[in-house]
Formats: sequence, structure tokens, C-alpha cells
Amino acid sequence: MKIVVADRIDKEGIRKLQDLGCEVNYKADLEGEELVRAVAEVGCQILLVRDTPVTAAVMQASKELSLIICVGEEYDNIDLQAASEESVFVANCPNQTAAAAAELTMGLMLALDRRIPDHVAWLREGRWARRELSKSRGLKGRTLGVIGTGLVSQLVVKRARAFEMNIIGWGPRLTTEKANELNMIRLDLPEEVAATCDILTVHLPYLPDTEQFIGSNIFEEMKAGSYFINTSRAEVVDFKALAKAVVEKGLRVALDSFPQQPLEAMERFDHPIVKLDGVVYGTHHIAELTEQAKQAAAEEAAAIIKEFLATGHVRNCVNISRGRVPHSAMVVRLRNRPGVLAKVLTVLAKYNINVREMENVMCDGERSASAQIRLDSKVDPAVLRELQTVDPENILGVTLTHPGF
Amino acid sequence: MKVLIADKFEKEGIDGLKKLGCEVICNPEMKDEKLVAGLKELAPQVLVVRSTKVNGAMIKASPSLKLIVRAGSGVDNIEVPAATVAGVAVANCPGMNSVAVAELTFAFMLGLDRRLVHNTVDLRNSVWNKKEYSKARGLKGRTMGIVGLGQIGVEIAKRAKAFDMHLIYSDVITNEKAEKEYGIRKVAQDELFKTADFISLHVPLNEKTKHMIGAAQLAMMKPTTVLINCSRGGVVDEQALAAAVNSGKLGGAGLDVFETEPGANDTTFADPVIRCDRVYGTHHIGASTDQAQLAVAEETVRIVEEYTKTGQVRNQVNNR
Repeated sequence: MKIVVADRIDKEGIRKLQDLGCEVNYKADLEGEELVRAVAEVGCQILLVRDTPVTAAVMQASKELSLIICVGEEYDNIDLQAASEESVFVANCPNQTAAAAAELTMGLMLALDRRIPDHVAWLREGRWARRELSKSRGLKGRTLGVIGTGLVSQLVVKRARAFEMNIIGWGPRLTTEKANELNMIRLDLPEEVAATCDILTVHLPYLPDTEQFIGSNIFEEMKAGSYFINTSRAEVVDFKALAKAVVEKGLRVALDSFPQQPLEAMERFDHPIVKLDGVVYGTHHIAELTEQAKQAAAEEAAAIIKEFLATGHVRNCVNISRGRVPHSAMVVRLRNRPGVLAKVLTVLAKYNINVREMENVMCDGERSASAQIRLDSKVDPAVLRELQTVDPENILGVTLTHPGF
Repeated sequence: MKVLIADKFEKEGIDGLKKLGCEVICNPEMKDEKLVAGLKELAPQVLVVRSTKVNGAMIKASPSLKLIVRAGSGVDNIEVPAATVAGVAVANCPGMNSVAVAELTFAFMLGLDRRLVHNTVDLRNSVWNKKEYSKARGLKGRTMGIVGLGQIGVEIAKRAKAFDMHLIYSDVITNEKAEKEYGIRKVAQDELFKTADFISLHVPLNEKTKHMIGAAQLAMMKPTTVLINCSRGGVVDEQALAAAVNSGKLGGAGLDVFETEPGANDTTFADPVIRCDRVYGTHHIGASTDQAQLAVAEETVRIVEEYTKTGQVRNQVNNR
């Protein structure tokens, strides 16, 4: 099995892939045309990336490419439509990087409270300004508001509890029961969380209905001088409304990502929000990027490949059609001989019935098997009759498990 | 009971004292000669100060004075022997800044691991450099080494556990309660220096601890180790520290205290250690949070309350 690794991925994970007998081609700095060429040259079956864009051209470059793994939580650098069109599975490594994101969130929270970047900058300039910079509130006893209650959020809550903070929150699926389990108080609206807390942290996935979800409705509710942290995607925040809140309410802000931010390589990037007169700190979209997280994600990627090689099953696959259900389904019991399954499929083809999904399971003794076939249309009695009579010696029986409508 | 507060003091503290039925006079300007006069004129039983100096002349000025409370931990600003001679009890509020110091320690650990200062400075200078900043190690699974497991050390251990870190400490005493509660393990100091990924120092400054972190100790540490000092400036040999950081033998350092610290009215800072790229520093603000000040105010009220009700002085530093 040939693998191209097109981003910096933990060495231990790469060693695991080599242990599986894979040929690993490490091409960490390739992008665009160069990546297309490298994939074509190697003719890989599997491609590993983190945030390098993977276009249709990359997917078409290797005829054998069947699996793309994003070694992290996010996968919007992959042209999913093209992947599905080319029948290439895309998988991600969810949850492995959550601790890293929670650590950055806590780091930014403490940095905002103690104004660490300002301390360092002033001291390096030779200025001693203890009076101006010694006014901090401390985290103990403050109220932390969380919006979104996925794993990152839960790990932030765990850490914030150790800092003896009070926690309130809102999430699209957060129930009171679940909130109790997480040691937090659930409020009915995100606006109520914003109005009540001293520090607000956002942990929402980027989806069509979360785009700019955190806007003036939230910022207008927040207390003057309170802190706002976003280590989820920039797209969930309305940056114009946020800038207004910094200027008008003295909100202290820490952000890990920005609209139209560049990729990995160093380049010029101007975002006005970090230059506002106030306490606004930023990082370079590094929430998921610690050695610990990269190692955990690489290990998960190796586990996905191991399972794929053994069973063909793709764990954490993000482009399996889930919208529709099969129209009908049948179980065919058959002899374990070449061509028998083909006979079944030929009959279905004759009646223009499309096979949606199928699985063939071998029985003990290896003499017979059972094929479960899920279909896209109704199965008429004539089809059943033909299947039952076309080769009774090898096709032992046909049962319609879901007859359709 | 008449209480004179000759310093700035939290409103919550003043209210708390009033609630006890005390007559409270708060005058932050009352220092030196003014304080001598004030004590004579007002004749309080209790004097509360933060950094205001209290000398023998002041203590003698008010024969009614029975108790001096230092709203903070160190009593360097109070002439304790003079108080003892005059039969005046002196009490302090130790340990009230533990949480604030533990929080600053974590601000340094997380800040240095993710290089949060560099991140912000680059963005303000219109530089995007994700590749450089994706080299953090993370805290989860790393080893936290605490030198001196007192109240501050315990607060750090509690937080480090929530970050899923391994915990070790070195100390002259054994803290069995913390070992049980946080799974922290006592090791020899050298072993701590050799194995910890993050090292935080919590020792007083004395002859034994002066430069306890020098070239030899720094050489034992891993090239990725981050050292935090929020205790006292002289504990770390800054020259040796700068050399270790600059030569890549130490991952970084967070310093809240320095060998040459400016005074309260100074506006310049000339300690060269702060110019090392991997050294982050703050203005000796370990105890400076509202939470810590409030805790001190509450402890002050508790001391006065106990004294008025029982005659006993909590946290007395000059008990005979």
C-alpha cells in the first residue's frame, strides 16, 4: 500500500504506518500543482493531509487513490464533492486534538486576565509599569460561559473547574441533565450566557447555520470589560460586531483564527482587529497543534488505515451518503463458488434494479454464504421467481427482508 | 472596637469590619508623621496596613493599640520587636495569594508552550506564521515538577491534574494529603530537574536557596523544559539562565520576579534576562488579582472578628 503524507505529521504515526507494511512517501511541503505531480508519480492509494488543500486534480492524479485522511478535526480543505464523485473516502481524526484546543483556550484566558503579552512587550522595551499592569481579576470565583458543548468545551470545563470557576453554558443539543453531568448550569439562550458570564468562550463547529452565529446579539449582551475567546473557526464570529464591542465596551479578546487567514507558510497578513487600541491577542490557528495532539491524531490515522486494510471499512468517514435509506433489501443464501453472486447481480441488472450496498458473509465450513443486498427500487414477484429458479443448485434461497413500497 | 486602616483597602473588607460593629477609619494617606499623629489622636485598638511602614514611634503613639494586622503575607514593613515590647500583637494573612500565584504559573506554562506573546506580536506586525507556531508540545501527558509543595504548590498540583499531567515534587517535608489527593510523587530534587517538562519554584529566598538554580541545575534539565519562577528573584541565577535559554539548553522561562527589581516609583527596567527570546516576564504581579486582595480582606476581617469575640489572635507572628 502506497501512502503520500502531504503535511507535517508526527513521526511515531509514520513509523506505525511503515509497521503496517505501507510505503510512506513524506512530502510535507507540497501544495497545488506539486502535490498533483507527487500523487501521480507515486500512484498512491492513500493520502494523508492536515490542512493542505486537496482538489479534484489531486484526486484524479492517482487512479488508485481510495482514501484521504485528514489528520485532525477539520476537513474543509478537501473538495468533498469531488471526492464523492471520484468515489474516494474521506476520513478525519476527531477528538484527538481536543485537549490541545482546551489548553490554548485556558492559556488565552489567563493571558487576557494577566495581560501577559503586554507585560513582556513593556519589559522588553525597558519599561517598568507595575501600577498599570497589576490590575487583574483572577479566574477563581469568576463565571465562565461556554457556547457549544462538544468535547473541546467539555475539556475546557474540566480545567476551569480546577480553577474554581463557576460554569454556565448553552449548546444546540445541551439538556439540563447533560449540563448537570458536566458540572455546569444550562441557560435557555446563548444571549443569556453572554449577559451573565465574566468570560465567554466559543466552541462551535463551522456549519451553514453557525456562520456568524456569534454576532451583535451576543456582544451587546456582554458585560463591559468582560473577556471573549474564540478557538473555534473564525467563520462562526461576526468580526465587525466584535471590533465594535472592543472599542465601545472594552471587551478583552483572544482569537485563534481570522477571516481570510493564510495557510501554513509565513506571509504578510493584516487583520485590523489585533491592532485595535485595547487588549486583543491572537494566535495563528494553532488550537489543534501541539505535539501531543499531533501524535494522538497520527495514531488515529494509523488505526484508520489498519482497519481499512483489514476490512475495507473506513472509520470516521465523512462522505458516506446518509440522507437516503434503501428502498428494499434482500438476503440471498448461496453456495461459496465463483460466479454465483454474479448470477444474482445479472438478474437484478436485467430488471434495472440498482444495488445500493451489499455485504457477503461466509458461513462456518466455507460451503455457503449469505449476501445482504440493499436496493434502490421495488422488487417485483417476477424478479424473486427468477432468482429462485435461475440456478437452484447454487442460489439456495432468497428472502425479501424489506419488501419496499 | 476602633480600627484604623492606614492603606488602600477593599470595600468588602471595610464593610465586613463595620458589620462586626467596629468603628472604621480608613485613610490611605496616613503615613509616617501623619500616622504617628493619627494614632495618637484616634487611639485605635486595631491598625490595619498593607505596605505602610509601622515603626516603634507609631506603636508607642497609641497606648490603646492592641493589634496590628498586615493585610498581606510578609511583615517586613512592621517593626515587630517594638510591637512585642509594647505588648501589641502582630498578625498577617499568609497563603491568601496562593491561587493568584498558581494562576500566573499556568499563564506562564501555557503562554510559553504556545508562545502566546510571539503570536500576538507577529500578528500586530502583520506577520502570519502558522508553521512556526505549530511547534508547541502541549501540557497533557507532560510532567509537572513542583519545587516546594506548600499552599501554592498544592494549588498548582490541583490544576495540573485537570490538565492530565504527571506530577512530581521535591521538598524537605512530605505532603501526604496532596500525594493522596492529586497523585503527586515526591522525588529527589535532581531527579525533578532531570525529568520534569515544566518546573515551578516555590521556595523562600534565604542563604540556602540563593541561586539554587544555577548552571549545574540548568544543565540537568531537558532542552525542552520550561522553568517558572514566581517566588523570589535571587533563587535563580539569571546569568546562567540566560546562557541556558540562549544556547537552546532550556526550552524557556517565565519570571515574575527578578534579581534586580525596580522600586515602586521606578519606571525603567534594565534586567537583560528579559531580552532572551524564550524568556517571558511580568511585573511581580503574582499576588495581584482582585480575588487575592479580596481573600486578604476577608482574612483581615476574620482576624479582627476572632480577636473581638475571643481575644485570640489568628496568624499572630509575635506570639510569646
